Amino acid sequence: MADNSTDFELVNNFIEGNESAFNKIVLKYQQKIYWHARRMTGNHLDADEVVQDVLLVMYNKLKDFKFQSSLYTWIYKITSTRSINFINHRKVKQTFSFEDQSENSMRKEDRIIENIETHEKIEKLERALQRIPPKQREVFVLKNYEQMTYEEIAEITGKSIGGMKSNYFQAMKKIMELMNENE
Amino acid sequence: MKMNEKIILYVDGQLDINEQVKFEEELVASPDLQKQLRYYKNFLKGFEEISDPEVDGRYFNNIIPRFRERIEKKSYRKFRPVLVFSSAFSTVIIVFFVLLINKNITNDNLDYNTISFNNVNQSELNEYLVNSNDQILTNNIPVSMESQYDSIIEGAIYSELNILNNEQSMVNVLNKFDFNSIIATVDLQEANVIYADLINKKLY
Repeated sequence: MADNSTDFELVNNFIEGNESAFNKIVLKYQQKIYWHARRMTGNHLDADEVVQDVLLVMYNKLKDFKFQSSLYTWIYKITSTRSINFINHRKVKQTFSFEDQSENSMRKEDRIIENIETHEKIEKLERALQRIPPKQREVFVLKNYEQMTYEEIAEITGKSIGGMKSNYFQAMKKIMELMNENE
Repeated sequence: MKMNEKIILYVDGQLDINEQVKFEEELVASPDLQKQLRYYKNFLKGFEEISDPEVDGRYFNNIIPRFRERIEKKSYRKFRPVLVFSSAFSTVIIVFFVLLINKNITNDNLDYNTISFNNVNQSELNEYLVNSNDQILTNNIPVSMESQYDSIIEGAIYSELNILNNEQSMVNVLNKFDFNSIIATVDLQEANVIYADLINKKLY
């Protein structure tokens, strides 16, 4: 978990006009933002677009942040929302074929993971994750990759804990089936 | 409920206490179920292993510079309409002042030949007449000047005849005198002298 006192100082410094405080916040959370966006969107380039959007939202809204939740939760909330918006937008574009197949294949080829074996494992899971609904995917990713509790996930998604549990169960069942199919 | 579903709920702590006890009894009795549970736990462990993979650091090093570049462009785009409007507004203001200054320069350069007689008052007219003196030629006098000039002469006639300065008085006087016979006796030279006297009398 993030150090809240440090986050508090960084946010206040940024509100007082210290731009480098924002850079420090980004440095602290950029990997978490990227990986959450990547697991949600399923590829590097889409994740990169979401990361830049999230940073812009953070930059514009951080002045209004009142520490009613932790900065960590707030950033995840933004990342989740922006990722789901991006996925919905992408789905519409793909439905109406605004995006050509060459662009899709280019996206798949792009890689930042250095270890080939790890890259293959991640890609396999990414493919499976893309086959479950975004809301289920969100819970699945936050629970299994970020090791969050249902309470934390409910705070990020704004949904009930019961609903989260149900989503997780459905997501896990589907992912296991898909992983077994691919083996 | 299928066994693999029960495993998911058991590991996730979603079974109630009775279901949990029952599942654990089944687990002790079934090596196959134990195998399935181990497989599932390994499957979950796999997520932890790939949750923080080693990546090309250049991408993360460039996130902030790219973001900064992006917000600079955005702020330029945000203010671009303001800049365009400001430029257009400044141009209009500059053109307005240039025209205003040119107008003032033109007015400063006016001489007696170009002055508008519609806008001059009596004292300005007198000054004009003094300055131009003998140089005034009838055909050079503007129309507006002619009416002023006639009114001076007219006024002098009223004064000389000692009558009220209005048309009815003049009509009364004209009815009393046979002007045609008087004018017939005045030659051109005498007329000029009379007019000149009248003008001088009024003006000086």
